[in-house]
Amino acid sequence: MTFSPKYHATAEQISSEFMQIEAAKKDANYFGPIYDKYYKQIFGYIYQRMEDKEVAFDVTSQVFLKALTNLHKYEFKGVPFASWLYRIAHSEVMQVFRDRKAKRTVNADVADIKHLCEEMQENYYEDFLPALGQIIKTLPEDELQLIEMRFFEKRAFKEIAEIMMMTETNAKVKLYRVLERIKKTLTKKSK
Amino acid sequence: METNFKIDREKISDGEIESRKDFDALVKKFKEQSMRDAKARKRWPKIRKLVYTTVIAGFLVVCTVSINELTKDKSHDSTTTSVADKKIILKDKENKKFIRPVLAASKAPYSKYAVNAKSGGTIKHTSTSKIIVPKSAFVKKDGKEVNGTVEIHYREMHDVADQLVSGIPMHYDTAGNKMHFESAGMIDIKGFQGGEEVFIKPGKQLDIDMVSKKDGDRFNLYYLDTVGRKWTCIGKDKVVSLKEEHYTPASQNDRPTNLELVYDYNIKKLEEVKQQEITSTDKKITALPTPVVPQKPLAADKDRKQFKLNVNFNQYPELKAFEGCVFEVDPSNTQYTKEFNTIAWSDAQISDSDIKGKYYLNLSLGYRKEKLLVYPVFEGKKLEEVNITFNKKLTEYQKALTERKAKEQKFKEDLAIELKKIEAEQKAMAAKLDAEKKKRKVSAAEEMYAQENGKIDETDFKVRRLFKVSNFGVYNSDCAQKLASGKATSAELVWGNHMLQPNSIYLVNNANNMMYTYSYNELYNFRYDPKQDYSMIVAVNEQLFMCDKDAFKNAKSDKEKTTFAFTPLSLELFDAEELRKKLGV
Repeated sequence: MTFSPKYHATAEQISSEFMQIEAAKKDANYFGPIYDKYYKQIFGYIYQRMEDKEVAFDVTSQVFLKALTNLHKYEFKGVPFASWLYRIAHSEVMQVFRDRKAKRTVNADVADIKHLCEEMQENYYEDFLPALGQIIKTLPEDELQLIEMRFFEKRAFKEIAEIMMMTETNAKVKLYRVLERIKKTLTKKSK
Repeated sequence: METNFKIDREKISDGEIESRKDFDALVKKFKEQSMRDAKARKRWPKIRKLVYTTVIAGFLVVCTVSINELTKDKSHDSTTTSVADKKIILKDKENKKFIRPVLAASKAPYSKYAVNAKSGGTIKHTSTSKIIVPKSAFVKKDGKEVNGTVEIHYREMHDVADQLVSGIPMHYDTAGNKMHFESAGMIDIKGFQGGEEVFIKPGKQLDIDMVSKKDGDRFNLYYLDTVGRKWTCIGKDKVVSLKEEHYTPASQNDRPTNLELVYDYNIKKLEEVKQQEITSTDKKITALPTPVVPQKPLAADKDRKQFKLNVNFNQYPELKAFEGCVFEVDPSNTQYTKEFNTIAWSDAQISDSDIKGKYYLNLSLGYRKEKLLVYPVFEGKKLEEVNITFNKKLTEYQKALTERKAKEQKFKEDLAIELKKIEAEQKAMAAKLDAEKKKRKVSAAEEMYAQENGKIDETDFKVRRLFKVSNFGVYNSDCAQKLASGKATSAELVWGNHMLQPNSIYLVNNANNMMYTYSYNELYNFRYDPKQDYSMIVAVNEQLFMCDKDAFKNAKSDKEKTTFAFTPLSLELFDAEELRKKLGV
């Protein structure tokens, strides 16, 4: 069986991963390479959205347990296995927030904020960090995810689209709409 | 949800992340959980009987109550007296299924086609749409390639009736706004082998060639994500004219018909007539007498050398025209000397020169011959006389010239009228020729298309929409529109004295064949354009009610609300065809 290469994997890599998943469906011990490969990525995704690192580690363990439990339901539909894991991670993170075990946190570096400003064709000023923080806090979850993944996690549009189950074009259009709105709100606030 | 925004938080080292990995603990937890689940599954048959009994009993109670209520309502409706001032609310049960036909028993069946998975093939649907399946395009859920025959289940939805019966949601949320789809056609496609679902192999795509009743490229292509319960825009389809695209100039039908030949011959013939008319008018104009401009007599210049002809005009009548005039020597005669005037020339002849008003004076004496360019001038009384003659001739000339111009103008005007007539005939003939060519082209296209796909329903389908699909599912060529706008009111839905409280309300815009979906709560701010034709369909506990376009127009309004009167629709109305008739779409 051959696979189309995706954004970060060759056809051979996806093919070999597919074999590992198929083996893990029969025996959980074969899940090891997948766990090793994605542990750091998934933890990074979760910790990016949380304040407490211990909770983030717990949620990461929960994500892999859920992935293993539901592995028999996983079907290869052309997107990398990582996207499926990210979706589980997102759902688990949101569950934790709903259960009020943790607070939704947006973590960013100044460099990321500068990049965001460049994208909005705005000059970066330290003074407007609080205003930007306020705006970002009020964004709906899906829009926040787009900003977070694109600017704070530096993901490719293709990957974002696969995680969020939308087309690449749609992801771009949505992101630029959000940016435009942020820019407008920033301008209003600065007046 | 409260959100914190943090800048430059301390990073966690790779080492720490690595140290927290514990695959053995994960497998252990997984095995424990699997054991617990297995035990729970063993207990399930014991309690299943009890659960089923409870559910069935509950269901029977609900059904009995519903039937009693409906029966009671209908008997009331026929008498219209017993509950005149009391409204009974017919409330629909909440149904949260994503794909929800207007009635549970609605039938929007799939057409089933067999295709060889290995070799692929082309499926031709009854609407003339096509599905092109490439070689080895399917995999099973375990990722293994499918061999043998695959059954493709396919259905198309082209109008509101199809959409209502299929129950596929026709709204789309974008940036928090609820938009409704104006559909140019929708397909639902699935694949099965031996009753088990198959999938399109990664990297393979099926080509869909869907006929559409709406032309134009304002429609986007959407994929229905049934897990995310939303439509996802995946680009645009390619719009191709249904008829002309299939026309091949090299086909046998490219030969012109007899009528085309006749029209073509007539157009050429008319061109010839046109040329003949032009030539004939030119000839007539050329034949008109051209008046000669009389030469204004010149007064003699005493400073210039002159010759006076002493001629016996009886002997030389041809020189009579020059009687009384003298000839002045033109300054261009460089050979001229004073001696010329002293010689008694034996012969003098006047001949025309190329210069208007000037002549050659040919003088000879023995062997000597001289040729001088001269012009006649007059002096004294003779000048007055010739001036009178000149003025008379000039008047005559001007009169003749005006007459000629008038005649020429008349010929030209007659020609223009004639040419206009011919050109109009040519134009009409060319239009007939074009129509005949187009007719042949379309008929050729139809013939070819019909040979490949069956007959085209030319009153309905206008274009074909081409797109590729990588997954089975529902695809829709759509243009997102906002909710109907215009008059705002609180809508009250009634059937006789009964208040209807359905969960799904469908507003159908008859003009653009579009459907808007409302929830009961949205009726408090219900908007519609009173100038347009609408009808409404609602379902309450598997009973359809309709407010047709006349009832919709006659809805009673006061300051607070508009009351829309509904009537029950026949319960046999389960398929799109019947619904289409009732809706008049």
